Amino acid sequence: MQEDEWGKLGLFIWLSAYVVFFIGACVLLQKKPSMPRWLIFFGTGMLLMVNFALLAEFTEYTNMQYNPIYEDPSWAGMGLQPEYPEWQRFYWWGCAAMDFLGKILAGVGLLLEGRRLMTAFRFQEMQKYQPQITQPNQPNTPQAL
Amino acid sequence: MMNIMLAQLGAGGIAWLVFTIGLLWCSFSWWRVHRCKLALASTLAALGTCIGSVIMIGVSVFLSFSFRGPSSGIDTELAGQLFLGFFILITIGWMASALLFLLAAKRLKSNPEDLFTPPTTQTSP
Repeated sequence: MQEDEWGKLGLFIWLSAYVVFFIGACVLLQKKPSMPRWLIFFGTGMLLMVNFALLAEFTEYTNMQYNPIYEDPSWAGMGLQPEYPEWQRFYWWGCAAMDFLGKILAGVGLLLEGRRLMTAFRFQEMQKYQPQITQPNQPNTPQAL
Repeated sequence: MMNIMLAQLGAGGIAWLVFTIGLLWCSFSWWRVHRCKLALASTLAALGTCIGSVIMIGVSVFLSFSFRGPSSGIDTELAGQLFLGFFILITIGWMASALLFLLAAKRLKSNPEDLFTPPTTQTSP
């Protein structure tokens, strides 16, 4: 397999991982919408779009390399590469910025979701030992404790 | 050029670590609350991805600083193979994390707020 084909395969695998994450975020949102879950949803959505854009651009660029004009000796002898248009620079930087933002958003969402779950865990643990705190009407019997 | 590369590596590495640490923390807390094997497997996969990522980012930063052409004494072929190996491992861990995240999300109780409701206690009449 050519190097660029490995690259495409890698990008495709990462793209499918982001798709799975995005579906996971949708499932979470469907069960109970909350702010951390919206963050995960938007973050993974952005990552998905960026990865798709990179894959499309990479495929386009590698296809361009196989254009017969670059095998022409009069061109190849000059060490010419397929030319990048001017907007390509902004495309790369835009992708890098969106990738950064998407990862930070999804990461913060995941951290907040974990924090909320840990609060629930501590509440559960507290319930095991001090049920009378949240149930003041219950008699303080040994069974209740 | 080197500064741009380091800036991209640094920014991308920090964002990636935030993402993987968030995933690790979220899976770990899922496991603490629900005690299911899926959440545990997700935690382990996220831990592997996190450790692999730290090593890979560390190696990349080291190479960026210390590589000064063929005279720097670094076996570029070996470094490339190591890099590729870690990348494949991280990709596998990442795919596993994504799948387990989805499965754990599906298994999660439909109303997590139930976790905060106190359990009913048996009292003697």
